[in-house]
Parts: sequence; structure tokens; C-alpha cells
Amino acid sequence: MSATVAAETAGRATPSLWRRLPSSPVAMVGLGIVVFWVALAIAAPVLPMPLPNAQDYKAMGHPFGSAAHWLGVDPLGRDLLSRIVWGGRTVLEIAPIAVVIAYAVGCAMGLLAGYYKGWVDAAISRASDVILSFPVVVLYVILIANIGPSPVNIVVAVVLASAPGIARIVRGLVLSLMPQEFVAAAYLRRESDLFVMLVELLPNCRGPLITDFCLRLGYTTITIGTLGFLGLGLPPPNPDWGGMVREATSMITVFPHMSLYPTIALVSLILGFNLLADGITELSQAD
Amino acid sequence: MSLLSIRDLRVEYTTARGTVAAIQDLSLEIGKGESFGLVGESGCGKSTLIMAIMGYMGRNGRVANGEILFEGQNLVRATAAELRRVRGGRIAIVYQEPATALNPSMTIGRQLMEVPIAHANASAASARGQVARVLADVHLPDPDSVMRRYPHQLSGGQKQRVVIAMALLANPALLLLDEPTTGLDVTVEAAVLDLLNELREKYGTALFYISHNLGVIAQVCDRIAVMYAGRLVEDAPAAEIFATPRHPYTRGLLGSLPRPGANKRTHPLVSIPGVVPSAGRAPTSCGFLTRCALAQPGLCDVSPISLDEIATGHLVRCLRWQDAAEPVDRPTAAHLVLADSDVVVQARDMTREFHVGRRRLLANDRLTLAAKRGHVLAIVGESGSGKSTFAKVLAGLDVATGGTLHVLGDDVATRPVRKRGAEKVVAVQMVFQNPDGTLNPSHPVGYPLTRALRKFGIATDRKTIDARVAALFEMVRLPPSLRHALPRQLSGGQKQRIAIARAFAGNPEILVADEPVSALDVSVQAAVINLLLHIQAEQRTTLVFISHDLGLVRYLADEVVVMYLGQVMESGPVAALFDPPYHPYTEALLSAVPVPDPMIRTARIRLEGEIPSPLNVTPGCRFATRCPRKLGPVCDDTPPPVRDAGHDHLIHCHIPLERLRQTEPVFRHAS
Repeated sequence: MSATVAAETAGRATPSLWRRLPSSPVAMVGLGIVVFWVALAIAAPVLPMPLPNAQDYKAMGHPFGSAAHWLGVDPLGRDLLSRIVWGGRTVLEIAPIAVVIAYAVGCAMGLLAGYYKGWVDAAISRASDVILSFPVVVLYVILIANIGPSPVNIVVAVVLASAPGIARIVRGLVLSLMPQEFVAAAYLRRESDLFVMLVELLPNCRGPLITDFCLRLGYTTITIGTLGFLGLGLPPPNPDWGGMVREATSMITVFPHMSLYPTIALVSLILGFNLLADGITELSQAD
Repeated sequence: MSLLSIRDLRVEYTTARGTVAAIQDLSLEIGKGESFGLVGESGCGKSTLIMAIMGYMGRNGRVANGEILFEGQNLVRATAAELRRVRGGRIAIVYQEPATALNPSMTIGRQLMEVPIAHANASAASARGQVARVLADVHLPDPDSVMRRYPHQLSGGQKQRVVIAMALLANPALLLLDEPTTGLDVTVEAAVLDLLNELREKYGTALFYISHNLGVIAQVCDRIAVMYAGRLVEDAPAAEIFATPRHPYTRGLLGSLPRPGANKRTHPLVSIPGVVPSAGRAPTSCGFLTRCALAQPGLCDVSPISLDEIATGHLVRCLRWQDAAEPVDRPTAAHLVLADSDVVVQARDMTREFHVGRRRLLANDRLTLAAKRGHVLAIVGESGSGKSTFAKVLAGLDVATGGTLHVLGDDVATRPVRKRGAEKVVAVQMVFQNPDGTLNPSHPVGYPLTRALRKFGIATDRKTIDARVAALFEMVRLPPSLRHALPRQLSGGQKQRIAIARAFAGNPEILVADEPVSALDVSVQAAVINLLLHIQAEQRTTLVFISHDLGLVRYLADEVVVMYLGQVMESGPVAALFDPPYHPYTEALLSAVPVPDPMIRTARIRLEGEIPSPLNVTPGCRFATRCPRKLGPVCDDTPPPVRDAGHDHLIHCHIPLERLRQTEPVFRHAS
């Protein structure tokens, strides 16, 4: 009899999301852009270009692209290409760290709220609502203006602003998973609350969270750029895309390339994250 | 001339794996006013056929060959405009899920009025009149108020009546019904089937009824065709299909249904091994080859087999139909001699009260019942009767608010799983209803088993665990290699087998099964039930089986408890319960069971309306509001006395026992 039952296996294995990624052109374009920036950021120290803070006084007279400075120099004679590459390094360090920490905090909040319901849920959800009721930019400005601009503080601000949104997604998913019978089955095995939350519930939140993770990397990139532009980013002279745009805006009519190149860099990285998120959504809906 | 005539139909789908034939070589005729039934397991192509008739095959489907003649017009070649006139006008369709067939944002009246307005250019006033008339015809009380309501304000049974009314509004010549009663309570199902028979007479509409349940088809159809792997395998008058089935598949379907009078000891169910092959994967000779006990190498696997007329009006696609005339070979069941054993579960006046706003809802009201070691106790009732609540309290997933519940000697009524202690938790395990929710989609299917073995302290080292898991897989007849598969790679029947293996991992003394097979196909149901009973008998486990299906309960139970609105109506040994004296509610439930045998006459007792809200209960008998044998005000005012009919058979009713004894039996052989 077991031979016939073996033939019963109805469905087929679907390969994991990452292996199916090549089948989505959108996701591949997004991934390509992101990988491009990551590669540049990693290779920055060995690339044959001037240091980002080195000033070339001779180039200041003619700040456009040349053999020595491919993309030209900024108002202080610093190499634009170098500053963009090193600026990308900052963004690609701060954004993932901030988002990962935001995820840890947000998932914990969402799991607790959705699992225990009652007053735990009320407390977490109301606190989240308070934070979410602020326009994001206003929230950042208030926070950074008070705690001062630094990489750590940017991470703190991003975590504080993103965790409630993540918590809300996780809470909704947990609420829809709780009535499922595999949760009751876990109780009948005498599993602890923590086990049910982390092993039975959290892995099933994966799908929507992967997409949100990519999108949130994009938002965080925007945030870092915005803070830089508002003068609340990394303290000078560190290269920072938002800061570069700000420093060059007064000369935008004379030397548009000084603000244009960092803007293109910023836009392309955000686009990369968003396309990747779109592609993943498309793949998970095709299941 | 016949109304619908399908000739040599072949429907193909273009998929990533190439072209797949979902329907092949299919011919059938339906006459005016005839009632035609089509049976087969899910995946046989029944719904595809309906879609082909309606011309809804999606972008990747097409009719590759043959014709569908309806009133002389070939629907395969019809233009979009012609099809629009036929659909909803001359041919109407009722789908399985009434909840999704209605637009939730429109009132019932507006949705129904669209039909005469679109098809007959009726004025709003005359459309309204027609709708009110048809709603009265489908026996919806107070049509005017129904028309003002939105779909969510109606019950499932009422919605299905509305959908049927909508289909009838254009006065169609042919009504297609795709499993219209699946998912409804038995009593509601019986009422809908009565309605279809009545409407057929009144409107003269031909019915094309699709179902996987032969019992349901037997109630409605004059002629029945059996479909397997995209082909018709048998086509005969209804009486002949049941009396002299000729195709092994038809016989398999019949063997997997419990018949009245049959039980697990005398007539064990026979399941068909294996599952329906996916479209295009069946053998080209005989599609049923791989699952057929009669298959003969060199004969059956050579060339495609034709559909031959073996008697007037009886067509069979089988070369060995003469050999299939032998009586169905039923295996002998694991015999368990029922000794009078000790009571392991004893509920006394157990109550579970919920608060809805300021009102009290008694999901279980002073429940008293007992289950003996090694016996099967079945708890039956319509949805909303409180049987699942009891199951949850017994398993420790919920707690009682009053009374006692002794499990293996200790009162656990108010002790959930967390407060029960390891031994009690291991002793009571559960199999759930929904095969899709029962396994965590993120983990391999072997994981809950390994985890249970570890948590219950049965095995700690990897080797012992692996051996135990393999043994459990063998026990539920699954290859142990399947343990690394993910739940989505398994069929519903396989998932339920894993759920059973999980429940037995800790050798429980009591197994609670909450409708474990109601979501499965009939043939798979038989296999899972057989498996469950086999393991239960072997390990002398007490099985508490929750079900709404009295046919199944009669087959497998040793003792039965009938519940209604949280209270016990009747309890007793299975043999006593299915013969008079009956509680009037049991009698009504019994008469609603679809019997897969036209030779058995069932008394017609239909309950008015549906199970009322447990928030509005009378101090008297809970069933008084729907009881067809209500005596008078005493039923509303005084709780019914318990009448002892002997041999532990207790009936909670005001009607004296003598009068209950005189009740006509529900099932009679028509001779």
C-alpha cells in the first residue's frame, strides 16, 4: 500500500525565493543596482581615486569632469566620484544596521501584541499609534535636533520611527495565524509561549516581511539623504549624499553637476531597493 | 430532441508543461426537464465541464474537439453576444460557495432585480414583483424583508436559496449546480435538495448536478454519470448505478460511503487506493488503470477503451465490467470485542459560559456524558450545537466555567493544558478538522512528530527519534521519506494522516477528533476513517469523534451523544439510537442524511429554519422552537425530563416513552 501512497504526493516542491529570483526581471534589475553600489562601497579604499576629503585647489577653477576627476569636484575642490562612492559606503552601513535593529524591535512588539492581546496589545498599539501619527520627516527633525547628528543617533531615530510600522504588520499576521490549528497542536505538546511565538508564528510572517524589509531599506536611504540635506546628517567633512546636495544647491545654476550626481546616486539606490521589493512581491504572489 | 447534447468533447489547457487534456472523448445528453447527476472525486474534470458549457475557460483553455449543442445551437462556435443571451438566460448556474456568489455591497433585492432587467428588459416595478415571487418559491420567509437585506445578514442556507432564486429568475431551461450543498449543515442540505426537486417540477427546468457525494446525487437525479480523469466511465439510470454498478471506480465510490445499517464491524468501508492523477497524467489506455483492483496487464493497458452500451441506457468504459459484477470484496475490520470497560472521560453538568456584551451565552449547558476505555464516543449535532467547545475543553484548549470533567480520574474542567501536568496532556491528544491549518507551513511535516517525541520525553537522542518517526509514518501508511516534505507538497488526505500520526506520537489514552474527515473527498474519507479506527482499536485508545454526519457516526461509533444548542438531547449505544424510540431532533437529523441508495425510503422530517442563536433560549427544551412534535407550552417552560429507554439509552424529551417508541423508523426498504 505504501507504494501507492508514495505516488500520491500531489504538489511539487517550490524552490526557495532566492533561487527563483532570476525569473523576475524586475527583481534582477533592482538586485543589480543594489549589488553595484555594495560592490563600489566595499571596493572604495582600493579604487584608484583621490581621498574623499582631499582638496584639489587647482581643479576648483574648472570644477567639471576631467581626467583627474571624472565627475568633477565640489565647491571645496574635493573629488565628486570619490565622495559619492564613500558616501554610498556610509548609507549602506547605516541603513541595513538601522533596519535590522528596527526589525528586531518591531517583531518583538508585534509578536507580543498579537500573541497576548488584551492590555499588552493596547499598550503597544497605542504607543505605536502615537509615533505613527507624526509625519516622518518632522519626527526625524525633532529627534536629531535634540540628540544631535551622528551615525548612532540616525540609527536610533530610524529604529524609533520604523519599529511601530513593522510591529503593526507582525501583529496583524500573528492575529490571523493564532486561530490556526497548528498553534493549538503546539499547546498540546506543552510548548512555551516563547517557542510558539518564535518557532511557530514568526517564520510564517516571512513572506510579507521580506518585501517590507527591502522597501524599508529604500525609505531609510531617503531618510538619510533628507537628514543630510537638512544639515542633520553626518557631521562634516564626512561624505554624505544629502549633505553633498545641500552644499552645492546655492550653485545649482552654475555648477548643476555638483548636486545632480549625488542625487542620481541617491535615486538609483532607492530605485534598486524598490524594484527588488516589487520583484519579490510579484514572485510571492505567483505561488 | 435533447436539450443539451455534448459530442466527443475534448478540452485542453496550455500550461508550462505543455498541452494538457482536462476532458477527453466526452459525450452526454440531457433531455428537457431531466435531472442529470455527474459524480467523481475532485480533480476529475467535473467543474471544467461546467466551465466549458458556459464558455468560461480562461485564456489558456480551449475546446479542441467536439461540440456542445444547447437547444440546437453549438455553444463552442457561439459569438460573445450569443453566449451572453444564453448564459443566465437559458442556462443558469449555482456555485458551491453561496457567500462569494453574492455581491456583499448590494442588497439582495437589487442584485436579483438585475436579472429580469438585463435579460427581459423588465421595468423596475415588474422586476421587483418577479423577484418577490421567486423568493417566495424558494421558501424564504418574508421576501420583502429579505430583499432589503445585505448578504451578510443571511445565513448560509438562506444565501444558497437566494442564489437558486437568482438562477431561476430568467426561467432557464437548464440549471447547472456545482456542489451546491457542500459546506451546508445536513439539515439545511436536505431542505435545499427538497427545494430543488420541488422547483424542478414547478418550473420544468432540467438539472445538471455535480457532486462528489453519491448520497446527495441519489436524492435528486434520474440519471447519473461517473467521471474519472476527464472521461465518463459509467452512465446509467440512477437506480441501476446503485443496484448494479459496473465500473470498478463507481463501485469504489459506493464502497467508500457508509450505507444505512452498515457499521464498522459488519461492513467496513472500502477506500480506493491512491489519488486522482493530475490532468493529462492518467494512463491513455484506461485512466483508472493504476488504482483498479481488476486491472489486467496485456488487456487493460493496451489501447484506449471505448464507452460501450452493456444494457439499454447503461454505458460503461471498462473491459472487465462482467467481472465487476461480483459483490464488493470488503476487508474484515480490526475486531475489537467491546468489554464493559472503565470510564475514562466523565463530564457532569459541565458548563462553558461566554459573555457577549452583557448577555450570557451557554456554549455547553450542563453537559453530562461518559466515554469508556477503548470505545468510540461520537458527539453529533448541527454547527452551533457546542460539540467543538466540548472537544476544546476536553483537550485543555479551553476551560469550563461550571460542573466537572473527570479525565482518567482527575477533574480537569478548569485546568487548561498549561495547568494539567505532563501526563494528562500526553493522555489527551487531538486531530483537527482543517487539513490545511493543522501543519505549520514553515516546517517539514516530520517536525511536529520529532518535537512531540522530544517534549513528551519519549525519545531524546536523534537515532531513537528517527526510528520512532519512521514507525509513526509507517503506522499511517506514508513513506518515511516524506518527513522532509513541506505541508504544501502534500494532499489533504496525507496531511490528515500526518495529523493522526502526530496525535498518536505520545500513545494517548484519549483521542479527540473534531470532524477529521469533513474537508476530504469521499474516497479519501474512507481511507482516513479506516486508518483512524484501525489504530484506535489496536491501541485501545478512547476515541471522541465529533461529527455532523450521522451516516458516518452510525458506521463508526459505539456510543453516541446528540447535542443541540449546548445541551444533550439523547445519548446511548449506537444500536439503540438509530431505531425508535428517537428524540425528535435525532429523528430529524436522521431523515436529513443523504442515503446513497434509491431503494431505501427515508421519512421526510424537515426542521423549520436553522439553529437559533444560543443567546435567545427558552427555560424549557432548547429544541422546542423547531420541534415538529412539540407538545405545547410545557416544552417552552419546563426543562424536559430524562426518559430511560434501557441499556443506557437516555432521551431528554417531554413526550412519553411509549409514544416515542411508536415512532415509525426513519429508514425503510422500498420493496
